[in-house]
Amino acid sequence: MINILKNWELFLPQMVIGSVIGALLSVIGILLVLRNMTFFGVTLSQAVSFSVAFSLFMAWENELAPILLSMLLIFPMLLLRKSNMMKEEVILGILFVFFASLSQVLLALGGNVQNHLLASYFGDILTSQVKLNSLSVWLALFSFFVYIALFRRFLFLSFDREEYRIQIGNPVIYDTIFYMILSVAVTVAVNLLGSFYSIAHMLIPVFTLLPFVRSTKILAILCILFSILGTAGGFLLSLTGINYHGEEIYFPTSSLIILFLCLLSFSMFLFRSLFKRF
Amino acid sequence: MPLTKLNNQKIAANYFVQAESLSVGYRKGFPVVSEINFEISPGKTYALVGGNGVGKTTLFRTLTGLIPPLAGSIHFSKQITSSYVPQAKKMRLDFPLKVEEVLLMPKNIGFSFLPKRKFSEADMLLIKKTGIYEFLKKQISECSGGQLQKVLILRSLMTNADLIFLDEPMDSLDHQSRDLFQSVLKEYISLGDKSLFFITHSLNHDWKTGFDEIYEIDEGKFYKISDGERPPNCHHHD
Repeated sequence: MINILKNWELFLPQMVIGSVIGALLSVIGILLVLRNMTFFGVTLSQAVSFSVAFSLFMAWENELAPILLSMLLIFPMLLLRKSNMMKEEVILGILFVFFASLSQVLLALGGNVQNHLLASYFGDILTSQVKLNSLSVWLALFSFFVYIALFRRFLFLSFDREEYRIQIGNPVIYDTIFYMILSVAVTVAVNLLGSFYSIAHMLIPVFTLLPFVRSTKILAILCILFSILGTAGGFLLSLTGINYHGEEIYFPTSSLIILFLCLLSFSMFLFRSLFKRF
Repeated sequence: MPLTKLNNQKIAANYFVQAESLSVGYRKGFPVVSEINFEISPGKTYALVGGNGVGKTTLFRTLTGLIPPLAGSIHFSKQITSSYVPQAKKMRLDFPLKVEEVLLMPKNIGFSFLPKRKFSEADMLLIKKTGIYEFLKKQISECSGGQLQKVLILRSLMTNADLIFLDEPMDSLDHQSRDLFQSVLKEYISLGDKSLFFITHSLNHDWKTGFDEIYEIDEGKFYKISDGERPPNCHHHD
């Protein structure tokens, strides 16, 4: 590990990217969770994987292509979610497996199936060729800025949609902006770091911290810190190899970050229940 | 009709809302209530009674524009503003919000980078008068049903809406709070040409001085009780 840390400058950009994207998703996840759209977010990550896979399949090199495709996909998904055909979670479950399978089929057409499968689900920050100044990262940061700027309105809309409609008017424009922000952020994250990494950062920090926090502002700040801590912890762990059957094994960075986030989350819940008991 | 206060342009049409041959419901061809004809005029109090599941809330949701009418028409006087007080049990308690944040929410929908708007003097007077000041900093998840109901009523009053729809607003309030809120609401409508429209199961308890107009829904039909109409299963016991 010490040897690896000597080459710190090689890993720093990846770690910064992972932290920035993770922190951004954790704050966007606040309204997603409060709106009871957790499973929608999980399904969206697979639809976004399809957008990324389809863009690869079509050899669209423009970074905007998968983002635009995701934006197009999110609206029919929202319509289907609210349709009276069957229960919402059933529809989302079907869409989840549909998009996951479709994206794997498309990725398989590019050859090197195993690597692609792994990358689409787990990504790998360490080997990612991400640059901090890429268009998609800037777009994700811009969408995050818009999200923060409109957060008070989004909060009212999420808390009491009916009163919003009566007092302010039709929320369709702001709903559209919210879902566009969501699709941009998730697409950039999935494209760079894999779908599971995105889901983990979107859900785990807010789920963990919501029972402890009594203000949305503090919740947002703590989600960012939790996400960065998870990324840094998992990243550093992944630099440490273990000897297994005489072979030096290094674990995938994104997976360790997800596990580290889960570990933090379980520890906090354990601490909370012990604190309540005694 | 006591229209002595009708002296501004806002109420030039002599009504806030006028429903003609209105049918309400969620599925076309399956109206919950049909042939609804009535007017909501300024400065008056209205009550809607009826058994469970007859469509009272559906009618409210249609009148507030939350769901479209299935047939017929609703005319709104152009400049009126309305607000809706739902039942406290429908409030989302999983949000990490304080009572004051819920009350200020409609005023604070501007950009997050701008300073938050605070309570006006009139708002603060109302907050103190209704006793909400005592739990202004409390988390909504820690409030009782009665406290939440008070917050929801106050939030509507603070919007200064011309017409407020209240869905069983007094049900979770104790006797004292019920009297207090009736006097506050009475003051509210007496200050300007405001109107209140209640869904209620108890006419006398909810508005001791008596409503100006009483309607009832029964078996999909709309009756004007105050005009002497009587449905087959009468619910306005008091």
